[in-house]
Amino acid sequence: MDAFSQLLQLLFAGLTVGSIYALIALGFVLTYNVTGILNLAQGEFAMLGALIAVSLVASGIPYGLALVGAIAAVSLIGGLFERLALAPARGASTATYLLITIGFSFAMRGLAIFVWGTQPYALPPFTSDRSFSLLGAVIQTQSLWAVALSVLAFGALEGAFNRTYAGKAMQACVINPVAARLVGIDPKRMALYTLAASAGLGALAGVTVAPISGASYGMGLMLGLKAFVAAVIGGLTNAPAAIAGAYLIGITEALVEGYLSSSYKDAVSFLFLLIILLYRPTGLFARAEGKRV
Amino acid sequence: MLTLNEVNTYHGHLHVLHDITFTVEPGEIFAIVGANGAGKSTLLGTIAGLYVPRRGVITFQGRSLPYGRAERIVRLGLSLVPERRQIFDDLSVRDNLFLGAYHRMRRRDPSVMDDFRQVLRLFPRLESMLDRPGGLLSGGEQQMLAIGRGLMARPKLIMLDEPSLGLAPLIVQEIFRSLVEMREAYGLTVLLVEQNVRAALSIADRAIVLERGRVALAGNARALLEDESVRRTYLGVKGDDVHRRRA
Repeated sequence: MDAFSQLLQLLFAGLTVGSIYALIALGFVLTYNVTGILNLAQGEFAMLGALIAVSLVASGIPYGLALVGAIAAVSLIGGLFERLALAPARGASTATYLLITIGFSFAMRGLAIFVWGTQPYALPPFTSDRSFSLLGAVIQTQSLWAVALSVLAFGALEGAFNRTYAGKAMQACVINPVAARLVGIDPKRMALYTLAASAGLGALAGVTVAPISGASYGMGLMLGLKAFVAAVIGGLTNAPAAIAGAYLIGITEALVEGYLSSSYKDAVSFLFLLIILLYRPTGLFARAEGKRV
Repeated sequence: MLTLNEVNTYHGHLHVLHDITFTVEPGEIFAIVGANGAGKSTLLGTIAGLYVPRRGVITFQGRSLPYGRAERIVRLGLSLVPERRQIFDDLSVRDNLFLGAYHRMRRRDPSVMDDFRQVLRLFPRLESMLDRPGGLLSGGEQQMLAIGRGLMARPKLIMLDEPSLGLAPLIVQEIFRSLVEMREAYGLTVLLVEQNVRAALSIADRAIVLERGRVALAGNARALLEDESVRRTYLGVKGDDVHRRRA
């Protein structure tokens, strides 16, 4: 494999993993924008999605249905999390909410060990497990799915926000919560929908990444942390910037892994986080009070 | 129609409203006037469900309100046009107006379109800027948009918090004319909070004067306009312009 093919290979690997981070980061941004809560359990939704999909497939449910079922189930878990853990704490400090989400992520990981054990599971890829070569680089079909789904999810989210009445009501909630209440929009209900949607996005990331790197109880931690860094790079409120941040991290990780050592891979995102927090705490792409959502 | 009985509201430890009692009759324009910090906005916010009264009773059409539940109170036919307009800046004028009808849109109420056209008849200026983001409108246009958004909820009683704030006198006149028109055209009851005492009292039927969270005076708006202490405190002794006194 010549140097160019190797670079291409690494770039594509970065793009794939970046897409996964992007899906989870979208959930971060969505939740933060609408509720003001930093949900550090976002990565666990990916883990739950992947493992539930594995179990549904194993139980004989048709593959496509199992994926959709897993995403729906995780959305439901996200909604329950909002109702049972976040809503009762209404008006609490940021730190309290943060602790609730961390507690929830521990609980979900514990639950996953209890149900699925610590061993990793495999999920078959969406379409075929064939790979094809492009200019000397080998690309898996599942990687294309990852990239396509992240773009699609972003497009669907933007469309839902900007073109539908419900989306505008949600925007109204973000722009001016008091005025939103005065026209009858219930911010609590919006928080519920938001958590369910964010959880669904996380689950989508989980079922997409599982055929590539497997599914296990602990996968949510790193996915969640890196997606969080991506969201921070984007300033937490800006979805396109968070996606750019996710690709940036994914590609840098892949390059570091390929050219330096895979043991430095995970350090990359935290190095990014440190640099951002030190020099650009409002995010890499921050404009002066830009539009949120 | 709307009755407050010994309503007390606190902001934390601060006792803002003291035993507020008054009744608004159907179809009237009722004004609440007073100086900055007298508790006027807190009073409207308490009625609209932004603040929870600690003591007292508020009834609307004979039923007591679900205190502190703004999103439910607007469904009962009580609409607040908040202070400083609070429009949705990034959303278009059209979106702002239709969001005003939120609780009816979910039921796909066909009368929403009628109300939309009626709001544009009341404020023809908005028609040419329907696709412009609300945040790019002038202050007067934003106030019209905020009132229009309030009307889209099809209220029985509309509350306006300082609609004249920061607007040129000509625009204030236009807005106040629209309030009178609203009452005639929709049979609306209007509860108006104003610092512009003269303008408010000249269109109102009845009014109360709020001082430090208490009802200091109550009565016929014309009579209050003639009242010696009101003239001295809010209008300047010899009818000096209120604006100059406040400057």
